[in-house]
Amino acid sequence: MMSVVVCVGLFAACLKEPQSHHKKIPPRTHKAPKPEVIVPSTPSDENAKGPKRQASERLVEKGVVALSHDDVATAAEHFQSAMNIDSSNGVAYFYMAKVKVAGGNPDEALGFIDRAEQLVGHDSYWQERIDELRTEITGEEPTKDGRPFIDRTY
Amino acid sequence: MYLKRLDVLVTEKLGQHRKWNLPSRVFSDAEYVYPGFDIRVRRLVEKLDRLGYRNTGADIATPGDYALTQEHLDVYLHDFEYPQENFKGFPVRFELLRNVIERIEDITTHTTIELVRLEPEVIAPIFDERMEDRTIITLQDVPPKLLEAIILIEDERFFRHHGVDPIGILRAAAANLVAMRIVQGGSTLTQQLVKNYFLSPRKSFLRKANEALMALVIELRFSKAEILQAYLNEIYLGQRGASSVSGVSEAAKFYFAKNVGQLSVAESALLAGMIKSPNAYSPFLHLERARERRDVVLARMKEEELLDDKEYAVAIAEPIITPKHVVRVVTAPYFIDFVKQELAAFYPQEVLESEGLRIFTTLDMTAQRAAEDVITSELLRMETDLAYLLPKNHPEGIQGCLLALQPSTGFIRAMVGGREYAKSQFNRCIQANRQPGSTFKPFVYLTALDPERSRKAFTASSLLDDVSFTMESGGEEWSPKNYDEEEHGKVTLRTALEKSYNIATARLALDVGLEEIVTTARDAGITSPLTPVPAVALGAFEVSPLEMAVAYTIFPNGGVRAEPIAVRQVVTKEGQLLEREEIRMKRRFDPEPIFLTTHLLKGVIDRGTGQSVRARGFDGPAAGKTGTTSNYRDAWFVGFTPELLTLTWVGYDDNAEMKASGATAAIPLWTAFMKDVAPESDRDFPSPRHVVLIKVDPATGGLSDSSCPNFIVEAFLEGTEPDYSCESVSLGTRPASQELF
Repeated sequence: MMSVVVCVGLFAACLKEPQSHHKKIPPRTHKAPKPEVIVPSTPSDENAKGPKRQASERLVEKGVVALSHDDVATAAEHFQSAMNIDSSNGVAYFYMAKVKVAGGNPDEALGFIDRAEQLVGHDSYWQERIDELRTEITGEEPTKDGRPFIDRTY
Repeated sequence: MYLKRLDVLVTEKLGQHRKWNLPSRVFSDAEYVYPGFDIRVRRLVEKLDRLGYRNTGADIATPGDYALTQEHLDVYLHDFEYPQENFKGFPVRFELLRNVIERIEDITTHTTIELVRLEPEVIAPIFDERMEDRTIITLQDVPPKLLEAIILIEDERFFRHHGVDPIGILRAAAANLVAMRIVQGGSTLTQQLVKNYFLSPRKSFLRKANEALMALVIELRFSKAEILQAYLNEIYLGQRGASSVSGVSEAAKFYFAKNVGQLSVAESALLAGMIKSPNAYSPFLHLERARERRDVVLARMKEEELLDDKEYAVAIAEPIITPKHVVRVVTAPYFIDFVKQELAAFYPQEVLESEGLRIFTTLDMTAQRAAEDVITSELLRMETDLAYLLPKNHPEGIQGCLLALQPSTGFIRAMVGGREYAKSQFNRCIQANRQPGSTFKPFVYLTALDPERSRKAFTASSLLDDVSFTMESGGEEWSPKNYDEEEHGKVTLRTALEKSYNIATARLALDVGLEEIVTTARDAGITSPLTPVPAVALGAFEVSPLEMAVAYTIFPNGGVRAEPIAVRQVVTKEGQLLEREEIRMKRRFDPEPIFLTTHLLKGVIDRGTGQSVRARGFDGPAAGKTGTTSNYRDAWFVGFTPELLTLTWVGYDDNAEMKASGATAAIPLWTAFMKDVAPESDRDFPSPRHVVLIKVDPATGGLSDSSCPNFIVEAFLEGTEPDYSCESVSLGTRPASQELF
């Protein structure tokens, strides 16, 4: 009789611990680990002092001078060459947007403004200038969360 | 009557404003050189040779000279007429440290300058059937010593006869009689002009008679100055491959890499001496003979007191320095065809062959040369090393396309549309419509990761079922299969893309929305017909490689698409700007989902089907996607760094199966090319503002902790990162039974 009780008891105990192919699934109420957030470097930090950036900046300077003399074609060439040398030079895109506006193509400026914002928007000085230019073109003020106006019309 | 006819012919042709069809010239992009520029990687010296600069070995004295030592590279820059600027060349010194430029100095003023623009290369002239390369000059452009030398050697009585020189004819007749064949010409410059401009070069008495008559007519109708100017522009002075070098200006560039006005006395004497037999006296082919001929001319000039003792001494002692005779010319024929096609509406072939337009393009000659080498060598290697994968005894060789675009500008930097242009002008980069296969998948995943586009929210950690299913599509049953013909159960969204699982991707596409995926593809720039059926998620439609490459540029460009550009400016021979193409870009996607997708695509190279990129030695941040169509008819790889996007495609024109995947066939081309042109790019893709990077377990997508210490860094939109640990995720061990949709 005793052995039967033991066997039944053992059998019951086995039932309580079913074999499983799955990993144990703890309830979701278990406290999750704090995620380890990695902060990426801002784009311009990496390239700001490099020779490509310096060469690109010299061309931007030349372009700014040309633009100030209303020589839009020459200015465009300089800014495009600046982007060609250093595609992360957000200031070149900003001024290319100004070229588009000066050339009577404000719609085409928005793509350059967006790109400029991606690259130098972390700098408050440039973000302000980008916002001003965008407002000038679209007539829209920047949205509350700081996200730019997205023109989805094609 | 006959004389009247000749009169009309001569007057009409020589009297018109445009006497010659001038070939238009297609130029590459200019190249900026600045501190940090690696002259070895960018093959700067080879570029100088292609541009016709001369290696003097020591001092540089005139435009076109260069000298290289371990410490510096000195270059006397050429003059160049840019569309917006007439550039006057000056000497610069590039100070070097282990082939990298440390500083640039203007040698004249000893001031530091920050960058130098090296003029574009002529990719190819566009000739008419005569294939004559020439640059038109006026008499005023020609140095007096060159004029004097030519007249002295070729026709010293030019200003005294009236087109025909009887004494010269008698002298030649006597020589011909003795030899019993035509061995000498007593032709005047006028007669030579007639022969070159109007008549065939075949020597016969009839031709000589016509020549004499026409020479007389010309002398009646035109001044000596006009005749001389036409002669200087017409005279044949050698061969450059299949085209002829015509006129002294073109000859000055070809043999001495100088504008004609910059020729020295010695160089002028050599050119004058070459007229008799340009190839026999070519300094490229017979340097010693050229020198002897030059010295004969110089001696005659001294004899006739055209040179004083000092001038003679300097000239006779001057070494003949020519630019490197470039045997292999990079002509980029597929790209040229593409340019002509782009211009065809306003500039048809006959205009391009005759108006001498200058067409400035975006082509990077260093990249183009590398692309041509890679297509040739890698496809040949495939046919030997991978012969077991290719169809036996296939009548045509395997073909390929390599396209390189600069995403930030849309500039097409290299284009090779096939293996041998001479055999097949079909441009596979532009004209071939092929199924993209798995290279389309990133657009599915992009849609999934964009909450503004997808029907359902996904993250890189979302779990997908890579479990087979069947559904009805277009009246038939459709059941996608993986390439390894296996099912993998629950996988993260990242794993599904890295490993290119078809089943998981198809399920994802159905959840995301097929119409939504098509919209994404359209916004990215795919214009080919796309039907919102399940198979579209696996790239079962046709598209050109250029279209795919352009669509992919949204990834390195943060969601902003730059329109592809090949032609930047078109300028007349007088310098008037006819066309100017500016960069155009428009934001098509929010930067955050673009970054999330790019981050996935980096994993394709680091861990997934594109791993052989790393195994083949390409380091540095890069992202990409392999593509292999069903039955292995197409092998693709589209890969990019922040600065350059390159697409490679391999396949047969007749769609034969080749049993080689994108990883096997297309990646080797891509990697060989990128290692050559972008070997040291270490810039990473910039992270936008509303994205967080979190350590997660690669298997489950849950947060990494001590129970799952292996981690990857995953990207999430702010607020969508997982809040559960890897432990809490069940992947299961048995695939579910086949589901029916």
